[in-house]
Amino acid sequence: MTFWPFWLGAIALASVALGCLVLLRRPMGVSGNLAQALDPGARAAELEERTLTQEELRFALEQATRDAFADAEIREAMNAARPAKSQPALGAPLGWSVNVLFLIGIVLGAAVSGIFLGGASATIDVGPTYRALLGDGPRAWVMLFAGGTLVGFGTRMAAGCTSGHGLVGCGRFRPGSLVATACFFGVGIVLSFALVWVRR
Amino acid sequence: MKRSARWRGGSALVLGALLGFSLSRIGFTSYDELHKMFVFSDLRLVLVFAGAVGLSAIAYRLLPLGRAIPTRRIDRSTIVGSILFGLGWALSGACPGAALAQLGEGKLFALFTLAGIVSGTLAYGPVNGRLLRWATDSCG
Repeated sequence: MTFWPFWLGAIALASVALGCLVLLRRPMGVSGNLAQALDPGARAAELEERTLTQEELRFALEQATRDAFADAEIREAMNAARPAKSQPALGAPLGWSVNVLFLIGIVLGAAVSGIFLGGASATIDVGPTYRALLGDGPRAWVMLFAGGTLVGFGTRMAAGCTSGHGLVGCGRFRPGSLVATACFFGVGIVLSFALVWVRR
Repeated sequence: MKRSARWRGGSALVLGALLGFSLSRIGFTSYDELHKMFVFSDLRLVLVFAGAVGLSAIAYRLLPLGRAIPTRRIDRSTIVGSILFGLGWALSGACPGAALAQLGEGKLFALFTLAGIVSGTLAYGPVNGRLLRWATDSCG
């Protein structure tokens, strides 16, 4: 299979990210789709508790001060002017079925690629590099499961993966996403070198 | 479903399909290609990623999207979580989207990866709730 040149891949990924924002009014983020598909209640609660902004915090402190010390008129006048609850300019979180449909879409899209362009068929061959570094057969399956568990747990903890933090977060220059991307790329690089070194 | 919900559902399916198709064509589903990226023997995937980020950055400047959800501060959950994710990524060869794409391509071993991803995703709720109690940021 010949892979796409880099510029085509870049355009494709950026287009999908943009499509999510325009059509779904949500930033793309596969780990988020997964988390919301598998554990919708918990994720919603996590998101709830983090939308307090600086403005809201300051208002709350000022309000407490006014309630303690100020005259009734001042309290009424100023307490009424609370800042609008911070909401992202984007739409509401996607419903459960929309998350699931996105995930199913990934599988189907890749199937189209595999069937019509790559001539791929069902295989359990992990490929030469994986076999050389981590083994084959059941040993590889254990590694894949372990790696997958780290991916699932880590992306949930970081609240984002290569699409959410990497593509969208970095594209918007979000400091948290820039740090996250540097971390997971950096660690991936280090571990990959280590795997080669161990096998020497 | 209401009409608008059907539209979102259909859009999600199409966008997901484009993502899966792209991940496959780019080579993010191939451990051979991914490894080459990680050890700098082939920069193609790095350029894909950097290019996509660059193009997205331009688009976000042009579109009226409002502020990104601000980072509260750099949470340890962001850093530790990303470290764990990076380890898992190099160990399994798959970020969440790529694992699903691998399955679509017929790479049946991805079932083990996905089983792990599902387990890890589900485990986080109780582990964080009972043991860690760390605040979790968002990537939006």
